[in-house]
Amino acid sequence: MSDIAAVYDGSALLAYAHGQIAAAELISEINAEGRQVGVPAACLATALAALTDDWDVKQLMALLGTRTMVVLPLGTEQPTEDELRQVGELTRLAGGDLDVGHAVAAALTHRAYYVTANPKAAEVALPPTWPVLDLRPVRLVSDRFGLAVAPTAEPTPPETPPPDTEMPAHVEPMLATPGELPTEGDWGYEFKWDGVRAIAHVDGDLRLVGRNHTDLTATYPELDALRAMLAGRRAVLDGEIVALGRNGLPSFAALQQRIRGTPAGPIRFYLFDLLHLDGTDLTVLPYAERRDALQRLDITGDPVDTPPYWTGDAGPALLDAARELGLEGVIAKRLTSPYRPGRRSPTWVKVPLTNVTEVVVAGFKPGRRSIASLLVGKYDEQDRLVYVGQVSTGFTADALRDLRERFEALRGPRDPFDGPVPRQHARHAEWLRPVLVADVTFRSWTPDAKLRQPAWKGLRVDRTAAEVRLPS
Amino acid sequence: MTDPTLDEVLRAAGFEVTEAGRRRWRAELSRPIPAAALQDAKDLLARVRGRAA
Repeated sequence: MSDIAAVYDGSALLAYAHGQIAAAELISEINAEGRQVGVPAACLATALAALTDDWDVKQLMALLGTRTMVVLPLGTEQPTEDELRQVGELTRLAGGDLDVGHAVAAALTHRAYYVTANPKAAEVALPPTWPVLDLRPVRLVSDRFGLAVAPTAEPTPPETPPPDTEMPAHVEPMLATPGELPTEGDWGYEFKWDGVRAIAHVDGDLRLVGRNHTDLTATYPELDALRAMLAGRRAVLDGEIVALGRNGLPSFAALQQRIRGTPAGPIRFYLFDLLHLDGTDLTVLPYAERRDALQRLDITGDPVDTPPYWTGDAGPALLDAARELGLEGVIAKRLTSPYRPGRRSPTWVKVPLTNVTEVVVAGFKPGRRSIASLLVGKYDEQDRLVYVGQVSTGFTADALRDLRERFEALRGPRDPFDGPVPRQHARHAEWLRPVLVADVTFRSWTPDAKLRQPAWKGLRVDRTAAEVRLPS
Repeated sequence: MTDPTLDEVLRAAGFEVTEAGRRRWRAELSRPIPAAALQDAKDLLARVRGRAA
């Protein structure tokens, strides 16, 4: 006898096939509880008809091959006229949608939760009190954690910034200092986004500038929408460009795909600071006031959004939320801090959940099919390139292919490191001109300044090798 | 009736299921379907059967 905890309608099956993590986590939990998921045959047919990618079909059918999933026919093995008519009537209630009609009949018959990514369609046929599990991705920038969003500033700002005559041609982004989450004093807390930092200059045209003056405007043409969102206002804004992955969360790997020019997930530009507005320099104002002015611009939606920030004792809860969502961490900013262009300031503290560092790729060891590992380094105070470790995990097939192509033009005859490379790592290595910069995650530093368990994260085309320094 | 192969199927499909994600659903599933909803369902099924008859 099956114990069906939940029934997946067609939209829920599609959510699974399209890689939505919530759809898989619910199935995993039901399996762990020793229960099963009902899949009405009409819903399965609807989902299969909508899938155009063979890989997605294959993954869905593999799921249905597990004992956790039970395909439910229209009625019993030999359905009676009553059973078929019942599904028919529920389909009529659902506006003629057989997928929903069959799923509602199955959920009510098995006393199971109704699981869907399209609750509106189901709610017209379900009894109003029936529990529905909604798989739609949660909008990240909403206040879904029950935390108090930072209050708006006082009606009259205590300080009036001086007007300036023209917008600056370039603003170096202010940088945060790594550290523990500060909880004493007046801090604002934001999520730390896993993307590319960009300053947007909007003055008729839009210009997006990354670190090292990299012009990013042509790379993200969809962000031109920001001009219309500002409705003719002139502004300089600070934010992070991210690409959303299959689970709807920012994914650095997806952003790398986009940078390489291959199709990737949707792009978003998350704004977190306002530096100039209509000829007025706001950098001298406290962070809380700049943030309030930014919120009042009301730039919300796609592809540019203004995520909230939190104050008071929200920091630890926000860090927990970041961990649960798989985000990079949290940034704490002193509410009183002015914007210091180009400065790494203790008034901004970044609290990463994973250690990430930049390295210079200086060599590699070929593997049977592609690259077995990368030999990476950093520059010391005397500008010597020092070996800090080898990276052999974390690559996607696309990343390896991209690296192989880039390496062709960078091969060099000799070891570019100025210090020793352990013999077992240098053996069979091929050397490169040390120009590529990459992010790697790692567990910790060893006492002799090597990375413990480094893993590939992605190339940093916005950084130059000379900037990659050993920690002091 | 736990299927030990499920995790492998999910991994092959590219999912990295997290305990935090599952915990969210565990909390939802632990809530029994309210008695009022069960009664509503019974009434609705009876009604559509009556309409179909």
